[in-house]
Amino acid sequence: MLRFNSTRSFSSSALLKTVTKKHDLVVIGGGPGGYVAAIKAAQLGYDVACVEKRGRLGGTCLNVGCIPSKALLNNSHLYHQMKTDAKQRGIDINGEININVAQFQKAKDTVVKQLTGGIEMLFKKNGVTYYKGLGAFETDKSVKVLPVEGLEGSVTEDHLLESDRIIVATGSEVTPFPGITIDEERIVSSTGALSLKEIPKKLAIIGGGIIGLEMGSVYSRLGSKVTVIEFQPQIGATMDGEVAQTTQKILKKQGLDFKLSTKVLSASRNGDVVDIEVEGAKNGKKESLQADVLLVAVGRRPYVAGLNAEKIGLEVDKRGRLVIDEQLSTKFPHVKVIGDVTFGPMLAHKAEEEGIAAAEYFKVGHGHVNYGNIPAVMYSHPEVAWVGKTEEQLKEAGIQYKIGKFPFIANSRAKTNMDTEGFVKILIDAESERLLGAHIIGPNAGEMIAEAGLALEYGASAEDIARVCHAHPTLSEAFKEANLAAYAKPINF
Amino acid sequence: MFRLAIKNRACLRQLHQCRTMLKAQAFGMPAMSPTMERGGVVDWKFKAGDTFSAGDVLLEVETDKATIDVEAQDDGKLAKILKENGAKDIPVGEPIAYIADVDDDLATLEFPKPVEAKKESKPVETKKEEAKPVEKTDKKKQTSASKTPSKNGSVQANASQTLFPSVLSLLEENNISTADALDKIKATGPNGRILKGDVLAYLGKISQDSLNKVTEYIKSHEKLDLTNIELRPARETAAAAAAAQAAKPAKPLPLVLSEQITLHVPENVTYSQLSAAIASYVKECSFLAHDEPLTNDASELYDPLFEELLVQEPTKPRFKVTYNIVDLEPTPRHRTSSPQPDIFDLLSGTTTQELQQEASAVSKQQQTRHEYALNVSVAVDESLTDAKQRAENFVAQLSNLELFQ
Repeated sequence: MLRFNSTRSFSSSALLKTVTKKHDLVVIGGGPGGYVAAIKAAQLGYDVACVEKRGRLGGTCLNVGCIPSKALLNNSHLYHQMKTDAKQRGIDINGEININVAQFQKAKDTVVKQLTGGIEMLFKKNGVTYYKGLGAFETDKSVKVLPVEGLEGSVTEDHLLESDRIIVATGSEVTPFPGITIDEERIVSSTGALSLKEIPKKLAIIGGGIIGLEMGSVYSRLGSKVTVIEFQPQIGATMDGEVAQTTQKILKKQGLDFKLSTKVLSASRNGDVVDIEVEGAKNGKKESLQADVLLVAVGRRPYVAGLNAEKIGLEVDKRGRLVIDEQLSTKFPHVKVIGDVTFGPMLAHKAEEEGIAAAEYFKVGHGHVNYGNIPAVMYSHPEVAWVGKTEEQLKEAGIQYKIGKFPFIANSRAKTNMDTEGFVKILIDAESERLLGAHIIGPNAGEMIAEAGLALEYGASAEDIARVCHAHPTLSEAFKEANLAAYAKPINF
Repeated sequence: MFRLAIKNRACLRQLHQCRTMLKAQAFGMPAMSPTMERGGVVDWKFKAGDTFSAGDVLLEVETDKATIDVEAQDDGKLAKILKENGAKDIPVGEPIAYIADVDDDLATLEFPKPVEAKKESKPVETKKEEAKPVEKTDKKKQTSASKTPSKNGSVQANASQTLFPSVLSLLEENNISTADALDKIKATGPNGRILKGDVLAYLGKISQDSLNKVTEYIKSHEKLDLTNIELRPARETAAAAAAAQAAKPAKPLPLVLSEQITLHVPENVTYSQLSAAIASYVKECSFLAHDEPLTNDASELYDPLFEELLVQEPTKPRFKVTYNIVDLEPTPRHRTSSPQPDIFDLLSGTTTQELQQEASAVSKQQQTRHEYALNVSVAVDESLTDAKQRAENFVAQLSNLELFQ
């Protein structure tokens, strides 16, 4: 009898299809929004589960976005500097400098691996339960985790996670270009562009936004002839107009070719080349281009595939975004949505802020995200960074403003670094002199923008920034001087 | 376990200023974290009378989160232990020992009265308690103020702020005291912060209107613009959901197995004969598929009783069969009436009178056969775990008809 029972338990377990678990809070998606929300909620005392189907935490940003692209950008910049700059800096390099593509990619992959593994450690440290599998709404208070075939460590049977609090952080995916099939080999998205096996001789890029320009910079430095095709008359998406123009000028000098106000009609792969047909958006002039690789970087769109959001009645707007209120809640107050899958700029740090806020809304009923103070950075060289309002936005709103500008050519640290391209541009209210926006193009702009964010958050005026002691010689002095210039006069220019 | 150097004010005072007074100082329960309210003594590392030097671990303190070493900030002597090892739930600040200078003689040392010591520790506590309500009322003030904003949209200044350098210099230039400023100048900054613009407006140097305009502008952009959301129409939504469903791997809606079986029936068999025979065969197959054990019944571990216990809803059908018979060569044929043969008889033609015919010429027989297609579809009830298996067995069984040719 005993023996029977023990063997029977096998066949009966096969009949139990779903394992039910209960958690205080379930986060669907382990990207920068989701994992931050999960850890914060765990720190606030909840029993938290996080569902991720990629198999590695960190989302697009860490796996196929910000992080790997920065590894490529930095290393390609070093290579380029050694090749072109070393001599005038007094460094003679005897012998050839070459790119080892395999090692180049490996260095990037190592970083990604370390960082994603690091988040898993953080989950363990904070007691977040991690389910590898596809998360789908069963009801508004339960999430089903389905096994993903071929995914290492995936749950092996269906799990039903019951929870009174759910945070959706499913992120976004690459927007396809109508009529162009991405094969990630010759016609690639940003994901494929990060792991090309060889350096293309000719690289064409559809889209002159941040992703396109960053990847263009990488391959241009490595020797590709890069052509950027943009439908708008200006590159750089939401950049300040003046900054965008300067950026284009600098990138052009670096060898990137721009086709603005140009519409892509079609693109198709023919063997090892890609044929692209374009048309002038204004003059209707048609032209054919050929490239070894075509990067499609026209933006990203919310990702909800398999989530069953609509099954439980979550509202979706025309662009596929999940509809939320000011407290990040859907029509169910206990289901909140953060990051790329809802409204606002699609940026990792915006998702992180919302992740923290969502956890706090649940715990204490109050969260903080200042959407007027979300910085954006483009990691070309020189970097471009901005926060707050652009000149165009202020003009449109009819706000009287004053501009303070300071070029890096007048900054001692930039001079010593022989890296003097760009400027700091400060926009302040004409009367109260309150800081409204900061736009930096120049070395380390991405780090410097943090100071502008702090000032903006506290409602500082240009004078308040200029009266803060900045170390000498640093690039940050340029930021101080630009503020000085905005309300009075700069000292060193 | 981690170490934390505690700067005990009482201890320092004793060591540096109170030497001549020869008075021991109370050593209060240290606050190891901003949120710690109570703690316990785990283990004193020194006995009364021992001297210690800066950096020595005096004792281990237990909080709700961890056990933490408390290090001496300066040299000294442990004069008397008030809370022995194991003492728990001691409020932060309550004396747990007396500490004296290294050179002090314990015999002549004067201990403060415990009441005094308590009083000494109390201000810390009460300060904390006071600090909170002040903050709270401040916040309340602000929120109530911001809820009912003065005509110009600004609020009462937050009294606990550090003033901006621009504000301070403007106040100084215009001989306004900080207290006056906090009282009189309305604030437009976040959390009741007085901005340069607020002072300028107060001084009449800029217009209040422009200040309000820019403040409003900034405030309006602190939140997501959630107006004018255009929802995706329901139909499109359903289509998108369906597309998502389709994109999702292997999640078909109701499972339907379908099979087409071609039957070569002897010419002399009528349609009604065929149809009746098939009906009974389908019924039989269906019964068998429901009845046959799915596991290996030859195994010595097989126990029909137990197997039966495992079956979900044993009486419920696992699938529903629908079929139709299509005549592939619709030509008129003669009808004969004969006893109802079963389907295999019909297909093989054995029970009919043409036994000898079959034996003589197969090719001729082929010519006399008539083709029908049997289209079967089996709707599987997926709520039952064995349904799919049984339905597949059913289809396999039914397909024998084709193999029979």
